[in-house]
Amino acid sequence: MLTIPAEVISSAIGQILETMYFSEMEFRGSGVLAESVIGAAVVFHGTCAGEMRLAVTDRFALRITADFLGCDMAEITRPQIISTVRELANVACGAALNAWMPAATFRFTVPADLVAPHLSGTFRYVFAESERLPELAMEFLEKTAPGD
Amino acid sequence: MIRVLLVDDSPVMRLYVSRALKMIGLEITVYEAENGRDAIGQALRIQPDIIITDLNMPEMSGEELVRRVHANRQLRGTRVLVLSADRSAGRSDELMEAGATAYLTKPVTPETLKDQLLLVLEKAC
Repeated sequence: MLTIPAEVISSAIGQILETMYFSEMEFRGSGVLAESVIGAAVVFHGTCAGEMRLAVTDRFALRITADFLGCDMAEITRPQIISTVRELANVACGAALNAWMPAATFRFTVPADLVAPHLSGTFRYVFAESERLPELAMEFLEKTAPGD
Repeated sequence: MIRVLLVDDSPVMRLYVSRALKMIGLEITVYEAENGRDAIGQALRIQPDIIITDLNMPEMSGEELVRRVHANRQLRGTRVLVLSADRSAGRSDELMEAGATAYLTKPVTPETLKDQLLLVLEKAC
């Protein structure tokens, strides 16, 4: 597990949510997502190597997709939700790693869907909207060689 | 009419950028491609004024697309705006050296995207 300071992750996620998805969330430490979730993972290598896993609840995924596309939630399709979550993972990984190590260089894979059992369990960083249960979670796993 | 070729494997990102293009208020025709390989084929056919491309894509990356556009006699004058989540140190310089006109990192607001597109359009027109 790569332990990136929580304030670094929190700041990066906060900026992304505000800029692209018109949303705000608070960092809530480590934890689980109680509801049905969807997720994506990005593998990176360079100054250090690893995998970032991001999961969000279905409810939150629907909302940010609608906000991102400027559409009503009733118009949103499942492929659009999947694409939005992948894009969120892509941007979150790049922003968090850069905030953590500004002088580092990385290469990233195309985001892939995160599947069970990686969608459940405890995540290192979870976020929630005010007075709600956590709806966004992420973690960084260290990888030392391809296939780890 | 300005021809813009939008290259991104993410359908929602293509929609997001298309929306920002519409905010500019100029006559723009948007063409779309899912990866660099598809983009090269389309670019040779439509001769776009500007290519807006992501970096991390299957089949052919945005970086390879930039190099191929720069190396192709028919496309060498085409402006290329790279829009990527990759904020690695020196990445922007690498892409600019390879032939990109501008490098913009995500997250990006529609307004910032619009401003950057106008700058690139000024260079293209």
